[in-house]
Amino acid sequence: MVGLVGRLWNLQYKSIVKEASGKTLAVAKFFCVLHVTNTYLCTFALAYGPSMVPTFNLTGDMYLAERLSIKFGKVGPGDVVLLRSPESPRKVMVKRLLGLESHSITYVVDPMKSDRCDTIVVPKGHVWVEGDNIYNSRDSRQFGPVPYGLLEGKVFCKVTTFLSLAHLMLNFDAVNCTSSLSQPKNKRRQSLYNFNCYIWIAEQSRKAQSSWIKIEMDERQCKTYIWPPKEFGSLMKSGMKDPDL
Amino acid sequence: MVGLIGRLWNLQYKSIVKEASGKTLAVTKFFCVLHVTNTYLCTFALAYGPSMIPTFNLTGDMFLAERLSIKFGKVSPGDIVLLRSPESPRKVMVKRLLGLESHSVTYVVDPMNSDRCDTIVVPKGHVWVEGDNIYNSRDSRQFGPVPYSLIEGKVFCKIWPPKEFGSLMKSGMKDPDL
Repeated sequence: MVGLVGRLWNLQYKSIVKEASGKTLAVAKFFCVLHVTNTYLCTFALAYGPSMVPTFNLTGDMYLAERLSIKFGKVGPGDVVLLRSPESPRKVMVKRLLGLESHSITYVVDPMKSDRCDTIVVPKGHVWVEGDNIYNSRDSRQFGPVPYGLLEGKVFCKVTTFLSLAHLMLNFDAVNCTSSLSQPKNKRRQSLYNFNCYIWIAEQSRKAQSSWIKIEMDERQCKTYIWPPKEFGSLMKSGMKDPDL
Repeated sequence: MVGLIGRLWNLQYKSIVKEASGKTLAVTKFFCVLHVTNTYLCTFALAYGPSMIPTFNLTGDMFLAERLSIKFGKVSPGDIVLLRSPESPRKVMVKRLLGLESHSVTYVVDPMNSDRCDTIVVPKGHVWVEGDNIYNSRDSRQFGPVPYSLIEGKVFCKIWPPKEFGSLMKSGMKDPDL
C-alpha cells in the first residue's frame, strides 16, 4: 500500500520536474537568441545628458544601434556611435564620430572661454569623437583619440516606446527636475515647451554663460517636458556638425 | 498509380526535411551554448611572437583565458591579460598587466639602447601592460596606457605544449612592485 502511494507520488513529481525543466529550457533558448541578436546585430540604447543636444534630448531618448558596421569597419565621419568610455569602463556613451585614423581634425579647444582651435592627426587604430553640444560635452577634446576597439555600435534610428517614457520618469532625478509626467491637455503647448527648452539651451550655450546646474534649475519650469513622438525617424548623417570641420 | 507514388515520395521528403531541420537545430543550440561559454566564461587563445618570452614560446602556445575576473574588475598587477590592440582593432594580444589606474609605473624606455627609466601615473580607467621580453615587445611603452575596456580576458592556464601544461603563477619574470 505504502509502496503504491510512493510510486504514484514519484510519478507526479517526475512529471512536474520534467515540465518545469522543459519550460525553463525554452525560456533559456529564447533569451539566448535575444542575446545573440543584441550582441551582433542590433541593440537598444537609452541616451541622456546634455552632450548631444539638439540631436538627442537632455532627458533621454531611446535609439536603435546596429553592430554590424562596426565589425566590418563601415563607419565614417558624421555617424553617431555608441562607445565605451575610456575613463569609466562601465559607462557607454553616445557621441558623433568626426575622424578616423590618419584624419586631420580641427577642433575648438574650449568654446566657453575662447575661440582657439587646435589641429590633431588621429593616430592609427583610433577615432575622434565629439558631442554635438561642444559647450557641455566630455569627449575626445578632453580624453584624446579613442581606440577603435571601444566602439560598440552605430546609432541609426530613434524610437518611441513606452519603455523610453518609463526611463524618462526615472531620469527626472538625474536632471533634478520635479515635474510630473502628466499629459498636457494641449499637445501643441507641450511641443512648444520642448521647442522653447531647446532654444533656451542653445542660446545659453552660445552666450557661454550657462552651466549644467543652471540648466537643471530651469528645467523645472518646463513642467510637461515629454519627448515628442514626431521626431521618430532615422538620423540623417547631416546632423549639426560639419564632419569636415 | 502516379498519385500513390507521388504521395509516397512526399512522405519520404517530409521526414527527411524534418530530420535535417531537427539535427540542424540541435547543432545550432550546441554552438550557441559554446559561444556563450566562450564569450562570458572561458576561451582558448593561441599566442605567438617574441614579446612574452620566456613565459610563452616564440612559435606559439595555447592557453585558457577566463573572462569573469575582467567583468568584475578582479585583475591586478602581475596578471597576464588578453587585450585588443589599440593600434589594430582586429588584433588581440597577450601582455602582462603592470599597473592599474592611479598606479605609478616605472619602466625602461628603450632597453636595447640605454638604461633610462621613466615613471608615469596611469590615468583613470586605463591600465599599463608590458611584455615579459621588454627587448622585443610592442606594449604600453610605445602606445601608452590602454583603456580598461580593451582587456578581453585573464590568462590562467597553459595547455599546449603538453609538458608545459599548468597554471601560470603570478610570480613571473616581472616584479609587479617595480
